[in-house]
Amino acid sequence: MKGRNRSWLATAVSLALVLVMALTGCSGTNNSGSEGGKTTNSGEGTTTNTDGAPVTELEGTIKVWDWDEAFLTKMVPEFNKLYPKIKVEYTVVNNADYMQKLQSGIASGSDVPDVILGEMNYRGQLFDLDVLDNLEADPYNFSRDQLLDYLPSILSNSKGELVGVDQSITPAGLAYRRDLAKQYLGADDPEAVEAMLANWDAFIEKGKEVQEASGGEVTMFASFDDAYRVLREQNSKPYVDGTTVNLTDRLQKPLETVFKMRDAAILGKYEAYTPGWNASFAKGDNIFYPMAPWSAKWNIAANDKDGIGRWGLIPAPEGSYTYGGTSVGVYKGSKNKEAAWAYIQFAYMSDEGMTISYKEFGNMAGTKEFFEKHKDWIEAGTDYDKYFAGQNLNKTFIEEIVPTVKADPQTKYNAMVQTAYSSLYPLWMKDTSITVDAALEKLKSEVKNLAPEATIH
Amino acid sequence: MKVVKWIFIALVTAVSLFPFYVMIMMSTYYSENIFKGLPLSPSDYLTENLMTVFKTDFIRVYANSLTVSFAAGILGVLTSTLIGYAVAKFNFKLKSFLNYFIIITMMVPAQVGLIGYIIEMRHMGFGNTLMPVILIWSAWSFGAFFMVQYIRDTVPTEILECARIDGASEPRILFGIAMPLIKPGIATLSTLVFLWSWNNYLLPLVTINNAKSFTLPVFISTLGIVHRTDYGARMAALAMATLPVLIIFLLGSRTFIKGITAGAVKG
Repeated sequence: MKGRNRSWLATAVSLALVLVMALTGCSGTNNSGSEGGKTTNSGEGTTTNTDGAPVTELEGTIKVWDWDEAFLTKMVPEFNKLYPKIKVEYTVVNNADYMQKLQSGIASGSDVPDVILGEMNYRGQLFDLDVLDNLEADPYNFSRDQLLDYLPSILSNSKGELVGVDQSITPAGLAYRRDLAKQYLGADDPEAVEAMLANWDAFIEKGKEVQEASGGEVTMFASFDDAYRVLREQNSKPYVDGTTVNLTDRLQKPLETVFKMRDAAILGKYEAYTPGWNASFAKGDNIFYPMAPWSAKWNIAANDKDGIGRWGLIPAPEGSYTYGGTSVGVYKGSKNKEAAWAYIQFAYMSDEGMTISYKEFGNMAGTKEFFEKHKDWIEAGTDYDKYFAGQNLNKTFIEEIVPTVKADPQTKYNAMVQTAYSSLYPLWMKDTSITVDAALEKLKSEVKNLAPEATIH
Repeated sequence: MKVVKWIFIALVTAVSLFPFYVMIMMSTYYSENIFKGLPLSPSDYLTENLMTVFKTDFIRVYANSLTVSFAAGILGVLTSTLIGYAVAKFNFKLKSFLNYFIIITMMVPAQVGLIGYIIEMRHMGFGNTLMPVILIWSAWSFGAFFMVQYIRDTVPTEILECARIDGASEPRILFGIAMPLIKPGIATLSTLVFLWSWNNYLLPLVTINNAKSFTLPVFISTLGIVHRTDYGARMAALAMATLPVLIIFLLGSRTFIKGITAGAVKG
């Protein structure tokens, strides 16, 4: 009796064990996965619909991972009017999780989107994964000459291949509070403020005056990080050569200037993108903030709801820079490259797509053609100009800020340098006994820890 | 003395409930106003925040999370109980190996096996469904380990033998005699699986690429992003997401505590 029960149990347990084993990992070599080969034919050819608009016969299903759901829900149906046979499956992915999700997808051979977004924070890392297609080769045959001059360097991988187009250009200048500028600098007109701040030395001198006049209440920048962001990017130059990272050459000058600002006490106490920093826009204890085209909506209007007419925009002293931004590229392993490229072209560069993208979302394509063709759009201004007392923001960006923009090519080391910097700067801003040289040495050793294979100069 | 005790209890209660209170208050604010001070009194933005949340697929996501957590609970507890019962009450070949195997798998962090698990799920044809987030609990080493200890301590072998002598079949012994004895353990384990699978973020993040199958944590992380984080809306969603967990815990708290402390003192 007992023996029989035992054998019943033994069978049950071994069955359970087999099940557990099967579920915990030792999967076989069955490679005939059902998902990897989701191919659909992509044929080409164009016909026209009743309105005479060309409708292309391109077919297929493409996957897009994006964080901007509002953009997708608007853009995808528009795209489908022109490309009815391309099915766009999109997934909303938080940009903070994008790389992790992408890397697990690639490593496990499961879902990887056909259209991949590269936010500036992780762009170098993404480009160095070498999973994006060269857009200047077949079947895309795009040319970097079509892009604004500063763009190819931040859209190319370390092999020099162009692997993305810009979601929306991000040239940046300085936003300033008109009320504070009037009170402490004596003028609130953009031209006058710009003239006053011809270079960073003049900026620092003015900052000292503001500091004195306000009894230390008002500072020029809200954060050490804001100032550094501007200085670092405007001193842009290639500094990574294979595994050699020339940090001194790249960062000595911006760090010197930002430390000078710190010592002159013209930088606020906030760390950028903290709740306090967000609240400071409305509070009015800082005059200047870094500003790209997207900042009008996401920094100014979002943080200073009542700030109509309160802001101004000028180019930064000593030149413009880039602030944030997202590249859009095609996955090398995509089964539907042509369809993916059609989507990118439509959503980020075509006239039809840009009509929606610009008018509803304020995105500006990174192509020269866009600015030649749509001068009237730029002239017409945007809703956010009202925060800037009617100053035409996009016109200011295009005419005054874009011409001097410089930008770094992105490699994984950019992300590492940024990580190292982020962990160090809170101390630098507080402890004034830390000198530029000491800070730079510390930064180098931190980067070395993150990238032991690299030679850091 | 009683007063001191009550004051102490009141204090601890206040401290533990304060974060929930702040979360609920935050959900009534416009995101950018949350951080202007400590949000202790309600503001007037709750309806808008709720609208932001409900304008999306919140109900479906909620249903997904409930499905996942209940299925995970049933599956996880069932397999754990079976393993626990077998290892604790039967002698068979490789029993001690199985026991060690459970402990060893418990020591391996889940992240290490993540990629392998995704590959496995893909080959089983479960890509882009809720299955990967549910099935992970079917081989839950902690649950098995817990049940082995729990059953060893609470189910007297004599009772099982009595039942056997009276001619009860093995399944009946398990379900009719052992199960009622280990109810607190099952309640504890169910609460734990429910909590963990309800709050699980990493696994659904990397296995689910289809908004239709999103679970709450992943969904909430995608609420109101694009250069700005809509904390108000997220807090509103979180407040609603926390509710079932609180209810489950309240319902099960008595047996839960019993289960946790069982076996701590040998009577």
